[in-house]
Amino acid sequence: MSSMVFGRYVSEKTFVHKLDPRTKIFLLILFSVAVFLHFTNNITSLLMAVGYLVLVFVLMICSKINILELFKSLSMMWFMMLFLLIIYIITPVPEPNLPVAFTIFGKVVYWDVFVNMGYIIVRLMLLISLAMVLTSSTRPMDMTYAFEWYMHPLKVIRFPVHEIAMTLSIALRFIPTLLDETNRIMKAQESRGADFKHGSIFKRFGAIISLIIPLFVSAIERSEQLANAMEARGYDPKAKRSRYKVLKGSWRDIVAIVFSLLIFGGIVFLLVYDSHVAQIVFF
Amino acid sequence: MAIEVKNVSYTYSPKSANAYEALTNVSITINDGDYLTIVGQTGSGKSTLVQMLNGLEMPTLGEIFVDGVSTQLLCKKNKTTKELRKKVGLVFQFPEYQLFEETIVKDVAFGLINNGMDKEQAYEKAKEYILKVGLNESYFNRSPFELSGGERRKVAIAGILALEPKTLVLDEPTAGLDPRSKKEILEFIKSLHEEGRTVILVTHNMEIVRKYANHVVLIDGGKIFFDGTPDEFFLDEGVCKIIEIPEVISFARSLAKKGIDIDINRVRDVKTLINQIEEWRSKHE
Ligand SMILES: Nc1ncnc2c1ncn2[C@@H]1O[C@H](COP(=O)(O)OP(=O)(O)O)[C@@H](O)[C@H]1O
Ligand SMILES: [Mg+2]
Repeated sequence: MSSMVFGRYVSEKTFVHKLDPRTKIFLLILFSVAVFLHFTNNITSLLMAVGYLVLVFVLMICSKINILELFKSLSMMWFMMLFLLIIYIITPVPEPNLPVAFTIFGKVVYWDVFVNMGYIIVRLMLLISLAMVLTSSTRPMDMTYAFEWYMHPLKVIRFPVHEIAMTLSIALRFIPTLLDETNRIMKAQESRGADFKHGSIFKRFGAIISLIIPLFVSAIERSEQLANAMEARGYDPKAKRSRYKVLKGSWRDIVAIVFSLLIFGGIVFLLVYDSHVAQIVFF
Repeated sequence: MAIEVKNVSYTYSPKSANAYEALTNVSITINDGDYLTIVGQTGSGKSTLVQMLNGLEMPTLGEIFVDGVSTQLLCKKNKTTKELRKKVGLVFQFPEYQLFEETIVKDVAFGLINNGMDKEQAYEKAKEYILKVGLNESYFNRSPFELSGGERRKVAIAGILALEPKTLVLDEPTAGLDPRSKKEILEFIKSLHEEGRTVILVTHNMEIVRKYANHVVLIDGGKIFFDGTPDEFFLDEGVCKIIEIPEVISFARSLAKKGIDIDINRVRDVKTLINQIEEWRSKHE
């Protein structure tokens, strides 16, 4: 069951794996912004999209991530694509003299709809792959440490940074446990004749209830036990604490940040230059 | 024969980096009316094996035949999965975590209703089985969540027993129960066995093997280490190295070594041992 989880951490020894999680999160944000920068010129946009895709694929290969898994996650997106398509079709278009693809139910469908949708899908795919690179190359615990580090300044306004990081890390820790539990309870109910896969909606709903209630009960019992165990060992959320694992940057982080900033700079330059070119062409 | 396990191997998450072969080339023949105990250390693959018997898991390699039909074939046609589950009832390890209904009667009746029995009849049958596992009427309308761990276990076991499967599989049903509940449940299972049902019981308790079983399989590291009768089992040199045999048996053995003739095959418990010692004494006086 746990092998099905998308973007699960896989222990490897690649450059990307060895980066500091703080660096990775920073770079993820940087590139997410880059992906959503909008080029006025369609051809540059296309070229950029191809460039990003190549970059992301190279990154995925470098960090030994199974690209097939990405396509699996995309296959789950078809419903969203359909939804997007419908929204695009029913929203009125500002310029009625665009090339028309076809008419459906008396509604004119422009080629532009498909172009826009294509962009959104490519962008989402890029974002998903970037996030996947982060999650499959970083231990969940390291990720929460990094979050905590970024939220540190919020302590000034008495934001419970440490408590939230602790909650987050416990939640992450229990995901695989709960998945195993789900699997186990499902099998147990199946041997009592519950059927999760076949039968009417009504019957399947009954089966799902028989899964969800025990799952909740055990999750609540577990959390109670954990809270008691923590208290019994004198856990105090307000106490100043030391760390078993201290985050430390290395030359790799410097290399990665400098390299990424160069690329980002290039993109921004292109953006400015491109809109300049576009102005010259169109006006 | 009721169930035939033929050259079965099972691998968890095959083809992935953390593939793990839990069972390797396991073959067992279980006859109708057998009381089979499966023993072995934690992690040896007992639960994995048992889950394949009612089609919850499919062998990675090999086949399992229930009444002559392969489980893979049965489960492909989705309707017959239920037939298989009706034939082979499985009580999971720690079944107390599967309870969910508002009342105990409803919970026990869950399986019956799933199998198409109407509600009134199912509740009646549920009540009958709740009494049989050693809980009384006052429990009928209580919530399963306000029971102790042991009581929940009994309710969960009743939920499977009520389905009256021809073959009953129990995965460590008595682990962690108090001695009295343990005995109640084991005696009830024994009575079901005497009615002619096949019982397959996973356990660490050698007393159960000695007292109830007529067939025992020892799994070690995913492989069959021993397959035979309890008598052979307790005499096997290799088995003693893996399993801690009951005190009575090792005591009887030491007595036999000291020259008191005791037939170890007839030693079931303290009582039978005392009988033999008395026989021996009366012969020598
Ligand atoms: N869902 C699972 N995924 C991966 N490995 C598992 C899973 N369940 C059990 N295992 C492994 O398979 C082996 C056999 O487990 P199990 O059949 O539960 O043993 P037993 O019941 O004899 O204690 C163990 O080493 C266990 O770690
Ligand atoms: Mg087990």
